[in-house]
Amino acid sequence: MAASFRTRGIVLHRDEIPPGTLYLLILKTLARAGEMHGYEIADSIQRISDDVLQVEEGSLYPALQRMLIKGWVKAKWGTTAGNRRARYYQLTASGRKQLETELSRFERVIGAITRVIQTA
Amino acid sequence: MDWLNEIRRRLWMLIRHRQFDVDLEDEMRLHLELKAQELVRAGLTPEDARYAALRRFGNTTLLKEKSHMAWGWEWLEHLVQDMNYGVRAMLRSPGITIVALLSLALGIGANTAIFNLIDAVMLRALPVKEPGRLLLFWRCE
Repeated sequence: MAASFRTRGIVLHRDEIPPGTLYLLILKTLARAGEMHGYEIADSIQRISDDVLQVEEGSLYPALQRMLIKGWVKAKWGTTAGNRRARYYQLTASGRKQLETELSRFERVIGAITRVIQTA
Repeated sequence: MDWLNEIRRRLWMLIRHRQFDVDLEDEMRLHLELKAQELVRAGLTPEDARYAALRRFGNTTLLKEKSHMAWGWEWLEHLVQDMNYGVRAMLRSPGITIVALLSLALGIGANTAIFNLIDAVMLRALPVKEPGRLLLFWRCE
């Protein structure tokens, strides 16, 4: 499911993030970076995936809210390099545990899919 | 005790829901501006960049709503809204409200009174030991 749109000569391609992996991506990004605000999280995922994965704002912010409820992340307000007020997210201990869980689940599923599509 | 903490967080959000919405709006506005700056760096004019960022972002109201609803308080918010609406509707036509309140009060009052009487006279046993052995005496002339 790829969507693209053209803005005066610049084509932006978007691949949807597979369902269920957004939490994993956010958790991992925060584990690596320490603390980030929403835009930085989306930007980081996009850059590290070489622009293949584009986090939709429409799923990012509700996902972050759900993660706040679950207690996987905590948020505090800070200022950006450009001196703007921003909400910075940070992993909690239970977020770290959740990252482990999501990682092992992801590896199990990907391993299974690989076996299925590579079996002659 | 994870669930207890979760309830604590949800309650905290409920108490501060106004601030919560403002925070969410600030957060999304920052995101839009940073996205637009990124697109300007990619070669768009500032105006095009702003529109492109907005298009990407989609329906901000819907997005705020979805983030808000993630906390699971919409049933309570709807209840409060419904009650507000009810009170306003009653205040708008005080005459009808008073008549309705009076008839309810009289109806409930009369029912209670009648039931009290029947309860005392017919349902409840007399307040004596072995009421079944009570006798009634009178004299016939």
